[in-house]
Amino acid sequence: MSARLGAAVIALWVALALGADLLASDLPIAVRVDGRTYLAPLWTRPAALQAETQPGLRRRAEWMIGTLVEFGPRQTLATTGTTRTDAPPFAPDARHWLGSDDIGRDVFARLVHGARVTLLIALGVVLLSSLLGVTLGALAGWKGGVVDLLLSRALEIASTFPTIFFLIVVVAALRTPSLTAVVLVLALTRWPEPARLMRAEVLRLKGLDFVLAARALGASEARILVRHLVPNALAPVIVSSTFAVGSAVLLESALSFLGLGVAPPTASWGELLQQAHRSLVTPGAWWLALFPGLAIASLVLATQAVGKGLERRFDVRR
Amino acid sequence: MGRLIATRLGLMVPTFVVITAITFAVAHLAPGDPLQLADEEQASAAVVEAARRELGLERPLGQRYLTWLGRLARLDLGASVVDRAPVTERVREALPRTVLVSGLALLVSVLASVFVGAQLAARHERRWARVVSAALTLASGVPSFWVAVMALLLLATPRGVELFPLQGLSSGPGAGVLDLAWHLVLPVLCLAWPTTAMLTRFVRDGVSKSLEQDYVRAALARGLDARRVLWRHALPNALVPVVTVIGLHLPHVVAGSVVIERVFGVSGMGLLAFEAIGTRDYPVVMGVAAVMAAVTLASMLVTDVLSAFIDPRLRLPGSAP
Repeated sequence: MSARLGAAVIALWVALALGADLLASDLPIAVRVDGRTYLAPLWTRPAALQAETQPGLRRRAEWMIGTLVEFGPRQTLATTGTTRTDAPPFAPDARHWLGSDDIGRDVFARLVHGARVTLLIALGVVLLSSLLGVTLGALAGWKGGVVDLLLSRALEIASTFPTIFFLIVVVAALRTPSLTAVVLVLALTRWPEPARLMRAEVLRLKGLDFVLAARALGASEARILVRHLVPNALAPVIVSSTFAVGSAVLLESALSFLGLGVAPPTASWGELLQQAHRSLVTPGAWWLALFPGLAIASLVLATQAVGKGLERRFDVRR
Repeated sequence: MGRLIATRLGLMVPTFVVITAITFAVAHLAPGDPLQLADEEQASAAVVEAARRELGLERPLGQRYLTWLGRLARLDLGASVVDRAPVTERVREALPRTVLVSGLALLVSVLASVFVGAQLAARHERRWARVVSAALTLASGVPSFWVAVMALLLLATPRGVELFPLQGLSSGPGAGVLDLAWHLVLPVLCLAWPTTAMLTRFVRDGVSKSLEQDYVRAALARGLDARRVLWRHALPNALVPVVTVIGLHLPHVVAGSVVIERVFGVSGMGLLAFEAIGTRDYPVVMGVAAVMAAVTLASMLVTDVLSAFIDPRLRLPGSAP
């Protein structure tokens, strides 16, 4: 995959995640029914429409602009008002593009809404851990001495940390982890990488002439670090963070797959695969496993492609 | 070599203490304890209080941690809160399964990646080499648990071909080695998947870099067989960083084993910890976390020693990578 194609795939997923409500929802984008006009009821959730479904509204409405797929991510067979003779899971067809799971929830709706959770967690983890790592790494590289020694020891410990068991303990402690909690915990396990890269770059750069020049011009220590060193040392961190988005997606989906991610019924890609694993008991529902897997793979490969492109552009050797 | 092991061990002990202390603190500072779950079943206050005292839950955290650490030194991990069974026994049952699956997976990945990686580097201009390289890139983006679910779907259910068993490691009591091997195929291959994808590309890049070195050209100029140059001259030099990478990758293999155990119903350490969460059985969760931390640290020590064995430069003091 070329870097450009990778960027396009990422942009597509971001767009799908942002527009999830317009793509798949239990309420229409706009509707005129019973003499009243509702604009974007899917965001305002007026009480009058609470019990309605899109197919039901379409029959009664004067006019209606529906969403692409007429199901929300949490609508089960009982609440879609669908009458079918066969039992779910339904295979992909004209109504359920990517099929439905064993309680009749639409896979497409859950996939685009799940993209929100997965992307939000991945981006949150990478941003937070990079911020933490850059700060600590820059300080350690610049100050040296005890600060550096402490950070180096911490890095050594963190690199041997059996993350998964720590996460299991944390989740056991939290019972139903919120999105913020998941982001925080995952970020705490990923900060060593940017910290190590930042420390090495600052150590390399701080002996160079431009730092001496800045000091000769009377720049303060803090200014040299923040305005001169960090911006010049950022390239390896940016490259590794791009790759980290992909790993964060994989880690988040592995956690949700184990049932340790964001609490259900919130959909995320890993949770969709967990559904697929459970449905193996009544086999044949290949669509439950195939589509979330393709989604994860496409996003991870896209971030790797963009990361490789940046690596070449910045001339960073990892 | 002895000094290297001593220094590494000296670093490992504090690391182990810090890891377990953090895990212990998180587990015990969280609101609620196992008895609160019992509370929901309306146990009387006096009974709960007595049980809490018996389990030592009223003492300060630091003290409890030190007691736990002291017991650990005597290989006693305490008793499960749920059924009072000794955790050590549970771990003794579960650990061999995890070590078996992870160890075999590691072995498969290392053998496959060294062989395939060297071949890819030597024949990079062939079309099949390019196809395999592209496939490896693709494979690294595909989560192993998805591969596992798809493998089960295609190879273990009536929908596909029922070649392999759906769950577990044994068809029943008294089943032989062949039965075990049959049950191990899918879990081991799925766990080996991400490591192989990563390692093969690493070996390939390493070997193709050594193939450009002057000593390789010199060996070829002396008229040595190209195959011998690849396997005896270029490959060993490329293997030194590979051993280090395997060491750094070990925590990922351990993490992967938890997911794989869940998919294939292998009752190893991951599944043990996982089941203990539901009942907030902290002695079990802590025991598993501590043992797995120790196993990970020990295997990292092994890879360190192995690196020093392959590359004598690493044996010098102060040159730890």
